[in-house]
Amino acid sequence: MIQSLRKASLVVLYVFAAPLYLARAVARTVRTIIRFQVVRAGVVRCPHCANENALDILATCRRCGVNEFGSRLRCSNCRQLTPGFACDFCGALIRVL
Amino acid sequence: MNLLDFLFWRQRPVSYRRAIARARNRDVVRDDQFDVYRRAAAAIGGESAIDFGLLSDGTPVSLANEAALSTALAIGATGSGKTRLIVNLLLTCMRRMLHLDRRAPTLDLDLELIDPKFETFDLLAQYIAALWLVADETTRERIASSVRVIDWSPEAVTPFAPFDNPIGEVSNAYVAYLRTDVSVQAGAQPYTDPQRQAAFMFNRLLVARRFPPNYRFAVRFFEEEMYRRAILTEVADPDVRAFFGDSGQSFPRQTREALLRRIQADMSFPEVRLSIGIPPADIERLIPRRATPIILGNYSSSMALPMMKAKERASYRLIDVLLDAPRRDPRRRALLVIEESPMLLSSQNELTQTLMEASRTLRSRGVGVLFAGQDFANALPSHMVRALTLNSSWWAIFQSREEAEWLYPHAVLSAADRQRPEGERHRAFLRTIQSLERRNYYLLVKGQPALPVRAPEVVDPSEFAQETAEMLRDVFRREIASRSLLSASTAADLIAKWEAEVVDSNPPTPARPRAVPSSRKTLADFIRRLDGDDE
Repeated sequence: MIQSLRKASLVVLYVFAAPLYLARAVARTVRTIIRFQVVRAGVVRCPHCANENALDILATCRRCGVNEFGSRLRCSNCRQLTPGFACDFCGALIRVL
Repeated sequence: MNLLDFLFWRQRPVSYRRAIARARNRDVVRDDQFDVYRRAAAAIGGESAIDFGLLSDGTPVSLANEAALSTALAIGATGSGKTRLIVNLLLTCMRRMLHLDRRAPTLDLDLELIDPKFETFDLLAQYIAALWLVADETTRERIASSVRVIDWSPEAVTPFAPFDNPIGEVSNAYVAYLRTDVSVQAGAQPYTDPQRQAAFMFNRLLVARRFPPNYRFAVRFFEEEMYRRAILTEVADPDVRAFFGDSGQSFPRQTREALLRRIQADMSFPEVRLSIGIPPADIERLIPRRATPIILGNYSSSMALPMMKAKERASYRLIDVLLDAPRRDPRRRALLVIEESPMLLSSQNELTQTLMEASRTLRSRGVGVLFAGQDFANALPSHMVRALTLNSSWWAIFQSREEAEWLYPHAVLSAADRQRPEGERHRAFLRTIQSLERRNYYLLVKGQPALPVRAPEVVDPSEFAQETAEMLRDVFRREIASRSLLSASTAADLIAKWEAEVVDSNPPTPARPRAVPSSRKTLADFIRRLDGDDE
């Protein structure tokens, strides 16, 4: 009896929590897609010095050291994701993702 | 695979194509450097932009007002032409501010030059005199009333009250602290910690009483207890009263004498004594505060004063400018030009820290600072150089060595350059900057490639007005500077009058303080007291 009550309460809990988790997942997805627009544009302007920094370059992964033509924010070899980088002009950190 | 991985996987072919295209563009497409230069020149200009010179193919390079009047660096060896560039910038601004240039819109600007080497001040003075000579009566009055001159010589001085805090936006203690910090740096003799503290408290007293620095006053104040008590009765600051009220015990005789020696040394130069020795109330009466959009300051020692005294005065003025900046209307722009700025910034004191902070924050108050000088990379600490390079909107780099390295990443490669290895290309670029001809410089506006520019030709003021340089200087002194200067004899009379009123008069006897029981109980205390070793 207690076992079935415990399972039932767990199910109820999940049912009540589901909309919250769903909302959080939607919010995160939307946020990721919005932030990814910058990656799609391929250029990000430094908020400090206004220099236009290209995101798609001959990049070197800081983790595995692979050189590849592509986005400087993600290494396709080791799947390392870099949320930001130093501005090419002034060195200020620019956070993209 | 999460969402980001998926998005990057979808984007990957596009990123690859873009990266390849970018690499090819860098090495192949940019065959013509001048296309890049012309595009950059078009991008940085704008309506009513300020002329910065010409590219070598004759394309004019001008900088939009907003950028030209923001914080910037002008760096180059002596004789490389940076002064002419600054003079051109200042003259263009002045002409627009004074409505002398009918074609360009009027510029609403406050302009100040701090020149510790005289050359820029002298050139501008001649130009202003030349403009005054060729103008009609109304314009002459407008020019003369718009310019305030800060200068000093044995014949005439601009009176200046360093120990005055009339507006009271900051505390008297902070004013005294900044002034003390500067004067300690400028002093010929080193200050011990107690001497520095005594100087700080004495300066607080001067600010509180609105007294000018005066050696005779200092001597009487320190030597006569009754006089000291009379002076202190009108000081509201309890710290100052407490410090000097019992100064026999607060600091020992040696400290007092050392401080007096330093005050005597500081005030022994007539130019210094006459300019800062006038009481603030008299300065207000004789030269009322007026809104002058153009302030020209000559802070050179002219080989007639110790260099440090000139630096001290320039620093005092900078303190005033920085203290006023937060209160100004940000809609009205201001440009502060600091010539030979490494000279002022090389001391590690409170002022340099404040100035560094200002280079970051004054943009929000509409104030731009143009730092000019040579060899920033070696003369200043690296953190300061970094702060300056990061917080400036544009750099004009004339013939120089280390600063060439700053430009290299922004240089546009020619077709011939691309054939050479990177190291060789780098060395060749540095050699180019080190051997730039006079008036040639690289202009780097943030976000654009570095442009090789020839600075605009500035017509000689003597040619412009058909008068000799000496005549122009005389006109400037007589017609423009005279409104801001006091003759040495007037200044000396005012100081003598103040001394007669404050130093030589017998003060009213203050109420006798209650006897304080002596803390000296033992013979050892008594002997220490006799030796004057109370620290």
